[in-house]
Amino acid sequence: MRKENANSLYCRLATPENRDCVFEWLYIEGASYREVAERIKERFHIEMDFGSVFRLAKNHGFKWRFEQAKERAEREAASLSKSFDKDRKRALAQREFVAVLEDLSFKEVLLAQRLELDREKLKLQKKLEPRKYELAKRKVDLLEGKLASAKEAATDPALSSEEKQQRMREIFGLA
Amino acid sequence: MSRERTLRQALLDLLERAEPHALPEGQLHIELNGRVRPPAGLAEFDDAVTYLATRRYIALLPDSLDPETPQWLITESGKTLLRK
Repeated sequence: MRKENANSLYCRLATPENRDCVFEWLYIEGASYREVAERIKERFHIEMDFGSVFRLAKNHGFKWRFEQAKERAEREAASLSKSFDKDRKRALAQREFVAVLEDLSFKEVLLAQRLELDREKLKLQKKLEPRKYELAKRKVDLLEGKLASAKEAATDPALSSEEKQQRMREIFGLA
Repeated sequence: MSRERTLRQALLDLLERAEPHALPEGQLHIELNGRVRPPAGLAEFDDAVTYLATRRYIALLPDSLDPETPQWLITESGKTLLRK
């Protein structure tokens, strides 16, 4: 495993509690990388750009999400009646694990798309030459549309997990 | 490392991280694409999963409550391969 850079946001956050706090902002509240960078500055007095938050999420976010899902699955299994057999308990814990992971992952997909959108907006702000400006603007509009559709799908209570996944794949061209 | 190997390695790493639970195929694809650039298309993803499954580095969860959705687990051989 690659050694973590001492100046990385992961190292500078120093404690598991601080990292938990950042991951909760990202995956439970669904705050953008930019918002999280601002909150980190305010709360922990660490000045980092949103790219550092993106790297933290990319390199460590999935581990945190998996741990959260496992903890919830264990709690679910422990809360089940003793009359349930071992296989049934395991199957229900598996279902809880998947449900939590899917919920946290939808936010990850949205965050990644939001970052892409922010990058395109930045390009616009840098006053690109007219033709490039038009192309970039069209891309921003397209991404805004995709993001809105994705948010709608992710929060639609009428859709099952599989249908949400299918919608995400269709929206972001993974199908 | 070749692209194919990178994808296979990332898949095994994700499944090991999920242990003792399994990952549904769709979720596995989403998680993989959160880690690799460029994202893996469906064909690339299927190739990597098929490669690992035919060599028994990964296996289908046998007693799923939802038999319609394939869910994948890492095997002992998969864990050994991951450490090589």
